[in-house]
Amino acid sequence: MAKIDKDQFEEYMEQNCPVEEPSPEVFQHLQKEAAWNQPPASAKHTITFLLLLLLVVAAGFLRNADLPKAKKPEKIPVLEKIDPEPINIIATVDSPFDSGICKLIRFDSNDFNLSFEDDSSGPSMLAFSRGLDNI
Amino acid sequence: MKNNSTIKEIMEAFRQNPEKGFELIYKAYSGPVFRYLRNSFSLSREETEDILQNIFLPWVKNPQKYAQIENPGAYLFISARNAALKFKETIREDSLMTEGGDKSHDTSVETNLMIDRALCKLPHEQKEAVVLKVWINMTFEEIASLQQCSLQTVASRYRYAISKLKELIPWQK
Repeated sequence: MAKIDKDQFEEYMEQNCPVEEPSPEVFQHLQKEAAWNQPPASAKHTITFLLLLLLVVAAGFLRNADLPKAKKPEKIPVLEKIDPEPINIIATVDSPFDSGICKLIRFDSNDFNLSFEDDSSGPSMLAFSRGLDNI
Repeated sequence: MKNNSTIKEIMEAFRQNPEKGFELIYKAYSGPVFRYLRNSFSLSREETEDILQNIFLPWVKNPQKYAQIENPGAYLFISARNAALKFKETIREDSLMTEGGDKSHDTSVETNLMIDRALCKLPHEQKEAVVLKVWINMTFEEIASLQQCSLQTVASRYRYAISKLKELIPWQK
């Protein structure tokens, strides 16, 4: 009996089934958004627009870009002739050839002949050092 | 719910011609999904239509993707359920329709309001089981799949719900 009651109640519920439907606007909106209702040209327009945008941006970059310039031939720096400044003589000595040490080293030997005629400083230094050795 | 051959025909039509096929899918499932959302989740008409639109929108935006679905009904009901649960989590409780306040069914308004009030007194899962079984004609297996629970649980929920509704609704008058 309980089972029959339950079935009857189910029938009662089914009879009172709500019959609401969504409004047609929902379907219309979906149709508007549908891929098959999108104009195929829109994709082409989008691509064209993007290409134009790319060109404008590229042109802008080119306009602002610094073009590379040819390098001028490099100048080789000319070395100025520098006149040697006269050396200040701060002290003078007598001729080194007259000194005792020079007399010592100027002995008669052909293979050891130091000539300091051109250079006035070398013999004095050498003689001086030898003189020191002999001391 | 539709039988398997009808579902196959609808999906084949959708694969061949998405526009025509979608019309068939919408005609077949928009009403049941709408009534399921409205009665199981106590949503207003506007809220229900918003969710309905959102769950059908991917189908029209990317038909190739959805053409591979074998059971559109199950997919749509799961989508609707998830969307409604998410909606109910985010929305304030006071904006939800309670006690069937703004419903206006076409037939026997008073009786339907009475049934709505009784359904609102049931736990959500029990209410959902009754709506799906009695008004959407789903099988217990389909309801169990949707609610992600066992067949026995669904049967128990349904039995308790019917028993409670019998007490709440003066249906033998």
